[in-house]
Amino acid sequence: MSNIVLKCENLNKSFGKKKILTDVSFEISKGDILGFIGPNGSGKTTTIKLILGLNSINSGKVTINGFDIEKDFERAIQKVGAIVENPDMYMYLSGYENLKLIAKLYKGISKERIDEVVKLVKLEGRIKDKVSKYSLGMRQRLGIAQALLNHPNLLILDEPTNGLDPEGIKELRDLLKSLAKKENIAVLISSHNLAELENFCNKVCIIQNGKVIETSEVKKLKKEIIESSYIFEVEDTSNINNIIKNANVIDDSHFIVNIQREEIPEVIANLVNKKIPIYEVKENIVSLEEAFLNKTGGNKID
Amino acid sequence: MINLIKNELTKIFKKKSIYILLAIMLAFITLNTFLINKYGIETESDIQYSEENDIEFIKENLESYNKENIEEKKQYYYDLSEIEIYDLAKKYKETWKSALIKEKLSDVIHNMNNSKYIEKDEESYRKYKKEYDTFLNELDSHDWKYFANKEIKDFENQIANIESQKKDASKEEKEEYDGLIQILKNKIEKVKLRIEKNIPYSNTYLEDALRNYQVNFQTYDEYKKSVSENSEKTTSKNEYKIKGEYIAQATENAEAKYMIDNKTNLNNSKTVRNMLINTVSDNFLFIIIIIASIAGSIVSSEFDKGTIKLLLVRPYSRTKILLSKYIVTLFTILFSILAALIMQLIIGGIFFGFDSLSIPVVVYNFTADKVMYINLFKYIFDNILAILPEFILLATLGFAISVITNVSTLGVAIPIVGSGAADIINAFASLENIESFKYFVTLNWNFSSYLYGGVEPFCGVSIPFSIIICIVYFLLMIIPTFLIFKKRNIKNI
Repeated sequence: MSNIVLKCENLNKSFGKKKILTDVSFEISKGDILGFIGPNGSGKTTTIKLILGLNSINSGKVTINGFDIEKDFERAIQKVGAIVENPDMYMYLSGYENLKLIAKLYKGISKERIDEVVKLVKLEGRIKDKVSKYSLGMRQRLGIAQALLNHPNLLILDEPTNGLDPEGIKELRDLLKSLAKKENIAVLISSHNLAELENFCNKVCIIQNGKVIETSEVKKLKKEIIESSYIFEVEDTSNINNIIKNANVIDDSHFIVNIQREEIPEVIANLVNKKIPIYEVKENIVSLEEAFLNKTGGNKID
Repeated sequence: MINLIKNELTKIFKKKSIYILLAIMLAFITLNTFLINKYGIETESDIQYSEENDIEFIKENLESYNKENIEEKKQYYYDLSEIEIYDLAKKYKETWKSALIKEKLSDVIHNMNNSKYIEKDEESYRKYKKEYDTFLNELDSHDWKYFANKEIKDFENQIANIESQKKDASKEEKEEYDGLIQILKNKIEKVKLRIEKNIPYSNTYLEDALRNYQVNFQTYDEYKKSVSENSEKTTSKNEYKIKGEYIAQATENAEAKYMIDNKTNLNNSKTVRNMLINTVSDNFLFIIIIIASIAGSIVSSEFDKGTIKLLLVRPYSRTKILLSKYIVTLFTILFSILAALIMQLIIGGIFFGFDSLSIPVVVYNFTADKVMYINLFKYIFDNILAILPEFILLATLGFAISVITNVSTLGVAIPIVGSGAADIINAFASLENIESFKYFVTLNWNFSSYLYGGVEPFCGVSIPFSIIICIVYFLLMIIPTFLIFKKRNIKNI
């Protein structure tokens, strides 16, 4: 059996005359965490709804664990856990009752499993409280708990970082990383914020106006679009352009130059030759998002 | 699938709203029982003999008559006679004596006073006075059976009298005489029944039963004939009404007979039995509100709250999910009816005791032309079954609207409004008697008039016809509901 858990092929979707998705294709394998990135209204949630069978597909195909979502819904969805949009739960029930309701819909989910996922999302203290008393962050965690109940091998999380504080985001990151690693789960996680995801996704799929504009591994993407550059602090930058090619002067004492690490000594030697005092050399750290913005010509993602 | 259904039940019964509705229903049933206990009637006589107030009123009014005016003078003495009858009856402790005075002596007293004060006719006054004294003497020295036998003798004399007149009467007159003789004979039968069953004169339900009971109750053909002679002609269009009226009268007669035979009051509204018989109709609105509040929101509320997504990403097809919700909707019908009955049983039992539960329900089976005695619980069960199509169709209406429009308020409100509108449509249809109305489901969804050999509730309908109409309406609502739900895109919420 192949490693591919979710495969989307040329998904198209329109609401009335408005085309929402055009030929969206990507796939996720076991152990992958795919960041599904795009601005609001770019079609992220619609894509997720097509994958989960919540909306009908105009053309194209979604296959989960080898089963077509439209033709074989019950088997395709069997090993999927999901949060779509907001973590909507039954407000008048307790967190535990909510989980019990969902557990009943799968075969063989024990009480212990419920306790286990509750512990996993750190809701033990409040699980018997009514959901109406939960904060958005707590509901988000309950949403993740319910998505994990049925031992999914595909986890689909739509904007799960909404409402989570930085601590919560870190915890979610660690949780997803360990799930992907230990249980070999495939994760699809959407966000409008690339920076938030770049640290723990190993793949990204960037969508804009209903079209996938980039699918790649994060490392590869970084290598491709982030040119390494270094910032030099010197006594005087007025004459720098005559000494070093492609130097980018920032102010009186700083300039940036796009070079590889190995080339640093050469630049320093050049400067020393011209008797220009050097105070500091440091790497210019660029985020994936900034780099991406540069590449797409400043077309802001959010 | 079973688990889906269980989940739906959990969701409903964890909500406060259903308990609030049940509490309101309980409060209403308690109030209703309390009011019946306070103001309800045990017999028809309770109304007829609530004389005390009337007499008070008459006494207060006496002063206001102008005795110069002949009409007012007559009224004045009429009222005085009424007071005299009342006071005289009150003097006797035995109820049968008071009852007899009111029954037999009131005419004599009226005549007596009339001849004395209005006509100023000494002779006839003395005649009435003598009659009056004899009656009171007899009342003191005999028991009630003496009067009963006297009644029989009186009727027999009248018969003998008519027989002698009949001899030289024409053929047409003879028929008339025969009719009179038959009426008198029936009256004799009734008095004999009184003696046989040992029912003294009184103003209780037994007296009512005896008064209403007809010894040789007419057959349907006789009834039909008398109706067409008196008023409208029987046509195929209005025959169902005539049959219905006949059944009502035959049932009343059978009830009277049952009461006489068993000395049991069937009309006492202050019994848990009679309250139970009326529970569903008395609480119809509450039952419909509970059903509609669930049927009309069980799907749309999940859309409102966004929880539908939580439900639809489970390994169940949409058809199964919707079906489980529909099954739960149907369950709430039974639940709300049962809740009303159980509440009424307990509350009624606390107020009136449980003894009346063993009294059967008397029905007249038209088809077999016989009287049936049905166990109370079977009767209630049969009637619920007969009215179930109405509840199911109203619930399905709410369910369909809620799924198709996704607006809970419509899904809840329309069945409630619909049940009210149905009453108006039905009343209008039966008033105007337009046969094409039979295609309206509201004239077909209540099968209770067919029970126990009953007849159709409207012209041109029959059990198979009504079943087909109900099924057609049902399918018209349920098929689009399932198709639309299956294809629906879950929009952003």
